[in-house]
Amino acid sequence: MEEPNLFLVCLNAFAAVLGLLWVLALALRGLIELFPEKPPAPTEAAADAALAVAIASAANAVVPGARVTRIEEIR
Amino acid sequence: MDTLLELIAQSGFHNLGWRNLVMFFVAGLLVYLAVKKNYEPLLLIPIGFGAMLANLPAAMLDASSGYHAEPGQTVPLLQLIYNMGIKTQLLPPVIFLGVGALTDFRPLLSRPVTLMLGAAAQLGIFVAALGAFYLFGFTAEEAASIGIIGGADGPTSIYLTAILAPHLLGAVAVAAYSYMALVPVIQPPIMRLLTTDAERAINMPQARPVSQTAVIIFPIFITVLTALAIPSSAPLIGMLMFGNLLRESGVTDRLSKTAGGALINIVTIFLGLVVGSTMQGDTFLSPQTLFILILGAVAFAFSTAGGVLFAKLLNLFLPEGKRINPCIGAAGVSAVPMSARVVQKFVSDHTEGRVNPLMAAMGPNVAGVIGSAVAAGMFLALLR
Repeated sequence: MEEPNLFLVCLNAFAAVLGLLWVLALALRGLIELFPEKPPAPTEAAADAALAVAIASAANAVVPGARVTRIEEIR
Repeated sequence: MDTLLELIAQSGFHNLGWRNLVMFFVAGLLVYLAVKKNYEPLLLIPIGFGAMLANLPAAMLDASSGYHAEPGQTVPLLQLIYNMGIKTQLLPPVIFLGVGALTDFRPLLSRPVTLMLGAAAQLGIFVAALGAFYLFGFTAEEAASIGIIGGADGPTSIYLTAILAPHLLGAVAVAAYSYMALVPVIQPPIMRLLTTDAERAINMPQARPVSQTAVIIFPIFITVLTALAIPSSAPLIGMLMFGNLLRESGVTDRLSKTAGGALINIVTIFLGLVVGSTMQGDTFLSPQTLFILILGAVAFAFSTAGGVLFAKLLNLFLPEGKRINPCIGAAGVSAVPMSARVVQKFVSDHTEGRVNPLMAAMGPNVAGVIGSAVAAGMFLALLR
């Protein structure tokens, strides 16, 4: 059997790897645009509101008449 | 007395040759590197022990692609595993199933451009293949099997070599796993040579979060597109992505744990042992093995350089704030996750801890697994 031209084989194979992965990269880009990460669910916002009321009540119990103007979460 | 002499004549001691003794040393060296240096121990210990078994004269614990059993003859143990697991191309794709179940592709999904780095970092495969063919006189099939070492992916190397050049299986597998273990030695000098201080200090912004829907669709998407484009890569990519779907679907926890745990461990034992059993002294101790080791190092070096240089090329077209740290291109050689860790350490050391591109490097790192499987598929399509 005749020996294949390996230079052409390698050139074609490398071009195919680059080409295919480029197409896949574009397709993945489309995929993450099509299915983006959603913003936090409303239940989380509701939980935050409940938490704010609870903190304000606790602060009022300790210092009557105090107003909570800012809540900062430090993780 | 005659019986005693007959027994001695049949014993392994009587048939022990210098090649067997050298191979005992090689096997011992592999086990030593695994135990003392922690170089890919899960593979090098089975390979080393298999190589020792293969060189015990008259024990019939070697395996080769050219074995033919006479009618009624019992096939020796490791030859049986070779016939069932390597000749049928069963074991490497099953390893890929486990790899898929263990791999998180989110870093790649969040930065799809890093797929290109995983593609460019396959450069060494083709450079080494050309070197093997034109400089060392290997056949095209042998050259492709040697070149694939540059993909830094053991199962892919074994898969391709078992099909195209099974007589080189032992040498190619040993070179692939040895150089994968040597990534922390091979890659930093190349990154140092090809990047400037300013480039190493590029701090990439945090990648965008990826939705669970996209993560689940990803393996199906990749399998269909890749298998349609290059069908010969489907066994590797298909199993890799199936494993990943088991992991990400969230409803097949048991299957995912089995694929990434017990199954991959069982297959690794058989694969390592049987690859070692192909390393008989008569075939392994040849100038070809030395050439393969040299070409393997060349392949790794060019693959690293390919990833880094392509990242620099991309930076020419990217706006200021979106440029990528070219060092992460080096992680495109697969060798997951060691290569990404090497990039992280290199960049962190050179920026006094200010830049830490570990997660960014994981993108090209897992892309390299896809890239090397596609490259192997292309060789199969063009040379088989």
